[in-house]
Amino acid sequence: MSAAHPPAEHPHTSTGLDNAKLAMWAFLGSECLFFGSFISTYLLYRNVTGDGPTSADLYDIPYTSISSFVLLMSSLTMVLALSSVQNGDRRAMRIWLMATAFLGLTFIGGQVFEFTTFVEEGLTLSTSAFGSSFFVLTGFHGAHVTIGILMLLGLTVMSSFGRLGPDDSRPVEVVGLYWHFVDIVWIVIFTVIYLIPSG
Amino acid sequence: MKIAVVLALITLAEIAIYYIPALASLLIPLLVAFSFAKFMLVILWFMHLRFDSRIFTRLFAAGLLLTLTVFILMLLTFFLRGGPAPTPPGIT
Repeated sequence: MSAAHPPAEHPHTSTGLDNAKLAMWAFLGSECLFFGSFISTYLLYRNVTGDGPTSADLYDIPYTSISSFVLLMSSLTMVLALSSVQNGDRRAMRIWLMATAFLGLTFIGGQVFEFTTFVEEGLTLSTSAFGSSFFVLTGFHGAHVTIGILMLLGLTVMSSFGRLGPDDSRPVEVVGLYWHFVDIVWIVIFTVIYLIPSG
Repeated sequence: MKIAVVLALITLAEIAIYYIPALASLLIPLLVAFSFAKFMLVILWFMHLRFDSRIFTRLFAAGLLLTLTVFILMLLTFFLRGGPAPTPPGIT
């Protein structure tokens, strides 16, 4: 949907590419390894539950599906925010950025509720290897979403105070890359951790 | 907007097949395929890799390839070793 927009102008660089985007893509490449390690650790320990509850006792698929859908739709609002700023409509951009942040907050609220429920049902960070690997993986993802929300709110405030130039869509694009990455990590987590049954 | 609709439909299909007992034997391959499709749609269209410089694609693919290598080697090591993965002291 955003394919029709020309890339944003950026200062001259030796590579001919936008350094901020290049740095973000390199960072996201390294983040793959970060989350990949946690996912493989979870897969190793998901059946090591000790006396604590198992994933079958805890996971509420319909509830997590709604959370996943909310995060997926936040990627759409992020695309709409970028599209708005590229079309010069800064008010619409702020509305879509706020909508993205709101959807992200809804996801985080859902995760806090899920964690609270799990703790009440007897799964904590130290209950079992399953508990440790689950909370570390999903907790780090939640931390990434929270950082993304702060960046989205920061962009909205900067735009409100005129700190984003009239043609400057680059910061929105770079933050958008980070936000979409957080979304694709959840796509993998939702499938591998929640939907694929443990053996 | 079309991509977002496709993503939503794939998510609905994922949840639907989870509850269809007849598809139990195909559950894992189908879920992996759906997840891969969503992953690719987001990085190619929402993250513009389809339209952007190849250098960005190579940077991200390098990270992804390294991740998959570590992922497969780690799981294979424990699989070949046999038995459950060792747990750190104090963790049950």
